[in-house]
Amino acid sequence: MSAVLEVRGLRKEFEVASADGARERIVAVDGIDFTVPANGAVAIVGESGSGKSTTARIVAGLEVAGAGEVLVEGRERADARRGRASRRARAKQVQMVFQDPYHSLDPRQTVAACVAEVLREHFDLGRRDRAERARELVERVGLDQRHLERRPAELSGGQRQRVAIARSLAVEPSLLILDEAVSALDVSVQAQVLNLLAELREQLVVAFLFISHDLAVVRQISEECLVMHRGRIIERGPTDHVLDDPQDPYTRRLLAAIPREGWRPRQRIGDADSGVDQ
Amino acid sequence: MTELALRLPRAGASGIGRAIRALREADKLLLVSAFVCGLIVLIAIIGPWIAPHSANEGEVLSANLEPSGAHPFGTDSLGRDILSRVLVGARLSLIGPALVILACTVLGTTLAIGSAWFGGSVDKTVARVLDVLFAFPALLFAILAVAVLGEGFWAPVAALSIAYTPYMARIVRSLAVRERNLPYVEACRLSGFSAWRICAAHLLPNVWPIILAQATIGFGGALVDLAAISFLGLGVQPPSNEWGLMVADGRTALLNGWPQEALAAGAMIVITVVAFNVLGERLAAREEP
Amino acid sequence: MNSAVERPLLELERVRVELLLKRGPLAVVEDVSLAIGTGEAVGLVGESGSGKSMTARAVMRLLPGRSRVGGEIRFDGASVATMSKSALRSYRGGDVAMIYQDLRVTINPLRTIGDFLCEAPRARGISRRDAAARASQLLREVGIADGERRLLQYPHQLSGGLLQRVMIAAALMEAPRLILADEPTTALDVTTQEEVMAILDEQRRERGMALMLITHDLDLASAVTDRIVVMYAGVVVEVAPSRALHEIASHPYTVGLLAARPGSRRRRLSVIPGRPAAAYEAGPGCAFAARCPWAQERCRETRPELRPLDNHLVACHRAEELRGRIVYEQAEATP
Repeated sequence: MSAVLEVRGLRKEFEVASADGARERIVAVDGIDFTVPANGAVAIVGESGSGKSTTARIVAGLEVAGAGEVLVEGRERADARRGRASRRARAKQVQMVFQDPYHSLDPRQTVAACVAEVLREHFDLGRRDRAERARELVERVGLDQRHLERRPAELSGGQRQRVAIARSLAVEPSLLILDEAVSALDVSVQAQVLNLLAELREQLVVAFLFISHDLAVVRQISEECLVMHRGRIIERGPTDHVLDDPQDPYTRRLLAAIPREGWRPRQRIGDADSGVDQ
Repeated sequence: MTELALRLPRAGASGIGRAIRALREADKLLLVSAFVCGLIVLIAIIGPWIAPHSANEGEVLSANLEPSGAHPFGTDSLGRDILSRVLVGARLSLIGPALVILACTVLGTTLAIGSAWFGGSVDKTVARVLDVLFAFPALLFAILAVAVLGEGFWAPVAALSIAYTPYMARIVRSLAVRERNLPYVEACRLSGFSAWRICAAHLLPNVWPIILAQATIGFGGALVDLAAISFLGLGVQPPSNEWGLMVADGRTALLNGWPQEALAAGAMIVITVVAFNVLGERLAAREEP
Repeated sequence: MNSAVERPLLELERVRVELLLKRGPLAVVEDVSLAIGTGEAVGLVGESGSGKSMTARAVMRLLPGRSRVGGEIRFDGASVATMSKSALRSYRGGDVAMIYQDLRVTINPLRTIGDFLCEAPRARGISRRDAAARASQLLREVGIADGERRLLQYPHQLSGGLLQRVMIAAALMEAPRLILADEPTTALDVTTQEEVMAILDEQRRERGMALMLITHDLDLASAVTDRIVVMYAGVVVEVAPSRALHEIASHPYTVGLLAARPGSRRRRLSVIPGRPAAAYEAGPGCAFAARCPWAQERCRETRPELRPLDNHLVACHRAEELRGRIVYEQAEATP
């Protein structure tokens, strides 16, 4: 099976103003390669500054890579052509669900309008068919009729993320990126959304790229796992292998730091963020 | 980390119940000012038809009469009924500010949203242009325009439209920039919407309430500025019934002990400006988190 | 489950917090009673709307302007609600110290770390040199080596993890008897979280300070506290010794919460139907009744009181009969 996503030699630098005013270059993504197989589920884990979010945003097209290639279904992602057809094609390649449930929906749009707008942009459906399809999508993510006419302020965080998922799926993308999509949710709600995502994977032909700092969540949702640290992929493999038998010391350190039954926090010496900034 | 909906679905979904609750919780000041503004606009529309006397013809023998039954606001130095003049003059007095605000809102919003959307050099260029425009005091700019283009209605209106644009643009731009950086705008881009669609259907509606509030406040300012220009004799000319002009017309009478004309016109200006300002402020306050 | 015969350091008795909005009072904490003894660490665990943060703020008497507190809050026997201004100042600055989620929000960015740390002792009249010496000392103890240099830096020059350590040092400056930590590590990376919690735990134990840790993370709380208090919709639903919570959890909400965490095997997660509620959304009976698959009529009518069961406390009418039989479905439930 061919890969839905192929990333080769991806590199991205940022120029930041450091604390004393000087401008320095930070390498956010330092030449990484990975693939997401068709209908696969790959997770990228790492802490802040690891480059995982930047990678996701480059794949989505929200940032421009400094160097490297991003191919979705064999086609270059960075399409310089403008125009409606090009925009549509790009949207069908990759969609994304964001971390913040509170600002990823237009506060003035109802749920139905939000999903219908996407449908109108991409499909030639009559108004009634569009409404019907919107209803289907909304039900598929576990909401019901009464949610259709609500605005984001009247929905809870978990409900908003479901709407965001519905909107992304409306396009029928090849790849869905979930950028810390459950991190801002309560534990009990997170479980619901994770189950939903697992179910959607079974029902639909869509590949997932899951970005998370939470290793336990990653285990729930992905088959393959990439661990990023300071812009590089330092370990990769089937999720269960990486999490049960980590090879890299940083991965081990990450796993050791997760609170769980019988765990006690310990100050460790090693390559952790000791918070040294200057 | 809050899971809770920010707005609870209310109990008592009946129409009447909701209306009553809305009324009770409503901003009283907003309602009152909106009512007054509406009344004034209504007067501007139907003024000529409800004026009891002619606004332009007067009997010289009835000059400078005190307010009475026949002339509730008295008469001016040419014997014209002041109330009628005020009512008929409302149109002319309000249309100027309306045009100014319309123009500066359209111009300012377009510049602002375009600037916020494109960022980079476009934003910088627009910022420079606005900086220059800020430097012109509105009134002096209007006087300059009259000097170049001649007195009348259009020169001051055009000048003020330009002078007010940067104020509107600055406010809208900062809001638009904030909205633009929110994830939902990124989501729109990912969904394949055109820049035009995102700006018009998403950015604009979300900054619109503030635009409306600012425009309402600006209306009051434009009214005062245009009235001042007319007062100086640089705007519409006599025998027009514009309120600012009426204040000028009534100056001599005022000094001679007959304040009716200046007072009536001046009071109308003040009431209108205050009503619109309060309305604008209350509208703006509603948008605060 | 009071630890000692002596008077507890902090006592909350039937505490209720209402926010006074234009349209009427909104209860965010319904009924909370708990006690913390000297040197004891208690974890207040709950999701959104549980009221845990409001409870902590009530203890500090730092509630938003228009609010009303019912019940009793006593620190070392003295009622917090009726403290005089000066007593309150020494209470907040001296006896109790609070650690927040993000120091960047509360600290003055225009003043140095040294100014921040030395503010409290200098207000008491301690000399600048002595205060700075103590500050450096404490910075060292929380793992920040070059204290003297750090004292001269500004908040924006430090990373999140460093700032949280600074906040711990600030909390320790006045040798408080109780530390209130409100989601102190939620915004940090997991490795940084471990470091910061390890420091907090170590310092607290060494100095014999009590701790009230507010968090949504059950596992984190279990690791550094003696006792866990589980809150839901403004009420305490279960209190248990930290180590034993996983085995003896008896309240359907606690069991559900434990089961909903993704764990060491991939499986369909058990879900509690619905979403977390706040105190003002709960009906007259048990706050959890609307979501509880085992709710009966009496659950919806009368609120269960916190009562002893098997060596811990539960607020559930059916706790005995449901013991050991609480299993949630693994379906993806409608919200």
